[in-house]
Amino acid sequence: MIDLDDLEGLCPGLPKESAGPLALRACVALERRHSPGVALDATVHSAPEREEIRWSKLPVTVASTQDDLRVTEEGAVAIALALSARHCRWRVVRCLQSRLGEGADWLMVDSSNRHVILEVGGTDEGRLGALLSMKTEQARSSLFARHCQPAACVVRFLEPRALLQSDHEPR
Amino acid sequence: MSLDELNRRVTNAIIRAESLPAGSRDAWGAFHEVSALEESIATLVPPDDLEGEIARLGAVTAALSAGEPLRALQLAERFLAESLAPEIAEKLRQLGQEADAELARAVTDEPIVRPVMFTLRAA
Repeated sequence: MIDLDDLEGLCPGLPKESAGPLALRACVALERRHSPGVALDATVHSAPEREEIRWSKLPVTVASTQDDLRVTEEGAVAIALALSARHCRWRVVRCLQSRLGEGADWLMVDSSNRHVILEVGGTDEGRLGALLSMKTEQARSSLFARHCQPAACVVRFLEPRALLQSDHEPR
Repeated sequence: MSLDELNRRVTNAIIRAESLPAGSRDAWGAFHEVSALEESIATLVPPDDLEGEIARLGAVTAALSAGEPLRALQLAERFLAESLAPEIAEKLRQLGQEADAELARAVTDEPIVRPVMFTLRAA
């Protein structure tokens, strides 16, 4: 179960001040069509996973104050970090500035303390397969990929679905 | 401050800075903070370490986003004197060129100031 009200507790290393806005945007993105308790179908390193996503319903006025694109992008980050913590046991080290270049949104470490560069993509109703291919390619060609494991996670909110893949995990 | 604490702070600062309207006074201030935190991380982590590379590029990038091309240029020159991987050195040189171009633009766009002659007369 992914409890967006406790994203900080779910994702080791993610500071509370960052978890709050990311979780809020995931809630707004989900509430476009869904209610708390919706099921997320995920594929993590080719293994199917099913998660229930819970959150406290937002006041109706919240969504109107949020930028649509940012909601989708940062909402996807919240889901991606939650999945990588729960299913890959990755810990957040830090996020990277988007102007620094494509392919590297978050620096994480795996359970063996090896670095992972995670690229995240979000879409409201676009095709996930194509987005995953693009994000995986961006992660592989990132300036920092030579040091670490490139990974990509993409999330769609229409019927909540996510794909997470990295180069060195079993497929 | 420990590296873990700096990483937490820079994560918060980046998320805040990137949520502000680009080029606004608030965003400039927020990116200045990001640049200062990245610079602090760069003092703790060597230039051939992944986190050290991210911090060095991050300090210069954030200085550009903060509207501080002179600081970006100075940081790039300082980091280029260290032993960096060729890819990172190349990226730093590109960022230094961006900073140079912004400085040149700032000089061109500055209002022209001409001396005005006047004579003071006794009242």
